[in-house]
Amino acid sequence: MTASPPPSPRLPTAPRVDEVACAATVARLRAHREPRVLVVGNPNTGKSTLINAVAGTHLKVGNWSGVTVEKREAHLKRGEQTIHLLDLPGAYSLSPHTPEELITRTALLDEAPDVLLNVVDAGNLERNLYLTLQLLEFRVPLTIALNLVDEARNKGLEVDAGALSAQLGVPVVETVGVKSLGTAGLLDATLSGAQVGAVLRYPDAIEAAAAELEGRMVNLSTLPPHAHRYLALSLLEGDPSLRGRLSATGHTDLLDAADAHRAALELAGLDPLIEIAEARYARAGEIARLAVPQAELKLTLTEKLDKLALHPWLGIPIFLALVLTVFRLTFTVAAPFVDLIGGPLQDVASGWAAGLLGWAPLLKDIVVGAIIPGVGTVLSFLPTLLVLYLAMSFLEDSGYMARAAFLADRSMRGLGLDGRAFIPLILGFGCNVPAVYATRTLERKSDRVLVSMILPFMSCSARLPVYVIFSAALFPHAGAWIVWSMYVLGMAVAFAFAWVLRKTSLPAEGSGVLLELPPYRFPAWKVMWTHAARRTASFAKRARTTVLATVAVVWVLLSIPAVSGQAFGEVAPAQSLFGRVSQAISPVFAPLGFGNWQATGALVPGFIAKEVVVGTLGQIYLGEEAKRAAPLGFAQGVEQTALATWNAVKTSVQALPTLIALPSFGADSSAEQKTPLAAALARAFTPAAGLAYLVFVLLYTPCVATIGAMQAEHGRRVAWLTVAYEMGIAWVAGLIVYQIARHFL
Amino acid sequence: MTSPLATILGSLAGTPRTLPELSRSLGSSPQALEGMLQTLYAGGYVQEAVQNQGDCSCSGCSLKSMCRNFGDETPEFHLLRLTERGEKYLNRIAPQPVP
Repeated sequence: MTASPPPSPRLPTAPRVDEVACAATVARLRAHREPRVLVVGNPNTGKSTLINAVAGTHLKVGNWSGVTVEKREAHLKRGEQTIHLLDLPGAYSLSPHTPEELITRTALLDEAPDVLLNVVDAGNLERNLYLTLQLLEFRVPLTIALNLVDEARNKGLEVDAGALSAQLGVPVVETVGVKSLGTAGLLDATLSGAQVGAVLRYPDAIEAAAAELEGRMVNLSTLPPHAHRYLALSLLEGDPSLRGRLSATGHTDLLDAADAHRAALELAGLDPLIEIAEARYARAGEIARLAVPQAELKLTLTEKLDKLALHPWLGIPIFLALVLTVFRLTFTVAAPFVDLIGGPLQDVASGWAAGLLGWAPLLKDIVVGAIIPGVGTVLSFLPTLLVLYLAMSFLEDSGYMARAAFLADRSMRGLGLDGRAFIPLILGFGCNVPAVYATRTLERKSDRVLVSMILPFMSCSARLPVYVIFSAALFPHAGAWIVWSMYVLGMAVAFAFAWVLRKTSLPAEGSGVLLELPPYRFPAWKVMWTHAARRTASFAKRARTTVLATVAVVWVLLSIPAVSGQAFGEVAPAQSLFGRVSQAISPVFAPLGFGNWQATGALVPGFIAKEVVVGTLGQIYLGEEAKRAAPLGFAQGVEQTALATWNAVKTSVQALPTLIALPSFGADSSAEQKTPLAAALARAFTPAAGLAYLVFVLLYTPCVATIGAMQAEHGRRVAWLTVAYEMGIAWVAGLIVYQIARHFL
Repeated sequence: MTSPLATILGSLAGTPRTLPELSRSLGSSPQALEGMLQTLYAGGYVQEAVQNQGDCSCSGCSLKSMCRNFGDETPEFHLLRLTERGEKYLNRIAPQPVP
């Protein structure tokens, strides 16, 4: 559809430049045998596609390289006439902020255009019209291609091309460049029907200053006549790039005159830059409202999804279901690989080490009896963490986590916090240390202290191996549920404790602020993988530093005899210094069901880092047996590794379909296959005691690094107070869980 | 005829806002506001509320979608606030103390 302006339009603003001079210019330009059409528009409005559709198979493209962009020219034969279509880089305005806009503005000044073809995105009219209004300052015939009308209609926007044409005083042609719709008549409308259009009128003082400057330009043959009004207004705006150009070409008198006008306007209380831009934006908005009279926007996909994700009643269950799905995925896909590393690969590594280090018994003892079962057990959870981190990255990058923060906002407001406080808490799922530092984003000190104090209740990834190994040992058919319940319990305790703190020592200081919700999008695989790999690598790094060092210290303590008559390294664990000290502490945990020295002893190095709990359990339960590992040949080891890896891949793939089943207590893969450590734990703990142990590990002291971060951020008092109350809460919670669970499990 | 630029400046007075927040509070599309902010930014009326630190990069952060200072669609605009010039202009057109 083509809309032309009415024959005698009652234009809202009257042209006030010398129309006679303009008409003469236009006539002279039109007399050229080869018209030059400059195609101008905002970025991504489909200019190039439209040119290709118009030019068809006659297109001959020439390139001129720019610094970062290029302008392209197409030559089109129309009868005997050759038409030059110059495709200019996308520009939002002609007050250049980008190299693309500068190239476009330069072309408009220097290319002596016969006609301008302004490509406008129908779905984003107001934004596009700012440039259109600036183009009308050039007294060159102009036609508008109202492009992408199909996409606009899909959004529920119906642009009235007639109204738009009447407002601007130029022809408007509806097009869909990619489908070649409306393109047949576009060239005719551009070459024959284009009109100079209506210019916008600015406040009188600015119009007077512009007219005076235009008058000065008439005698300057170096300045293109079609651009006088645009140049005058740009000088009043103080456009630095234009000032540079005119200064370089010796137009200092003109610049001085413009400066004098600007100073006078500012003295009169007018800021020319803002007054001119203000008038254009206001007019663009006015035209857009007139041309899109009944815009009823359809719901976007994000809005549809948010109706569910942010539903007052369904939002929280959906969040919990998603978290459960994450853990089901973690168990289903990763469990076979955890079994692989914790079982066959560890056996092969022990066999090889035993063979290689037979000449150095003490070194063999520490490698085979401590490092492999200790560090190896921790490393066996790398697949679990990788899958968990991938799933978390998906939720974060897709925009869902922002919804989770929004849902949490309601609970947070009850605590005098806003949803933004949920961000450090979510970070705490990965590691509590950066989460403590992330509290800096909160405005009020009391909020920062409060969130830091409840942060350690959020289950960091270092605690996951403990949950996974105990779930595999004691709850083989409900592993995902157990892990899920630990995370939910951590959040519940955190919120409950925050409420207590608010009521007692850290009162709220004010209300929260609005949260912004980004649109949903499918995350890029590469980005997700990068995030997950970086976090997993960080865990692996801790395994070879913190965990390795702790394992070595525990090995020394396990090797020092606490009874006389025994030599270093030849003492039974229970008779070692570590065993005796652990036995002394263990009665404290007897009411919680795990009063044995092995369980108690593993909690102590967990103070350094939570994953060390699993490493120490591996040392205690597997160390003695591992020391007796038989040497293994290289080829035999490779064969065992290959076979076990193939079995793990098969098991993982076969377990995938169970993911789409409804959550059940039987969906976990390899439920009946236990690693040596899981089997040892199944013998040492009752299910009720195991559950109490998990609750204690979830809630007891933050690790040393977290305490350090809290001390740095909030002082020693807050840090050690947090350690104290967390120990107390963990003991009480473990006691309650055990005393209840032992009647049911 | 309304004054959209003055309205934006008024909305930022005393309260740093992001583009989506401005869009919500003014009932205008982010695309329409983007150009106006660009004009105001280039003219020195608004500025970044939080200067990005050299070692703090949004690109590597997995939580950027939730961060108030991250400009997703418009990376050039993060959290914005008025400059002294913006405050002066606002006071001139509607004389009242800017918080």
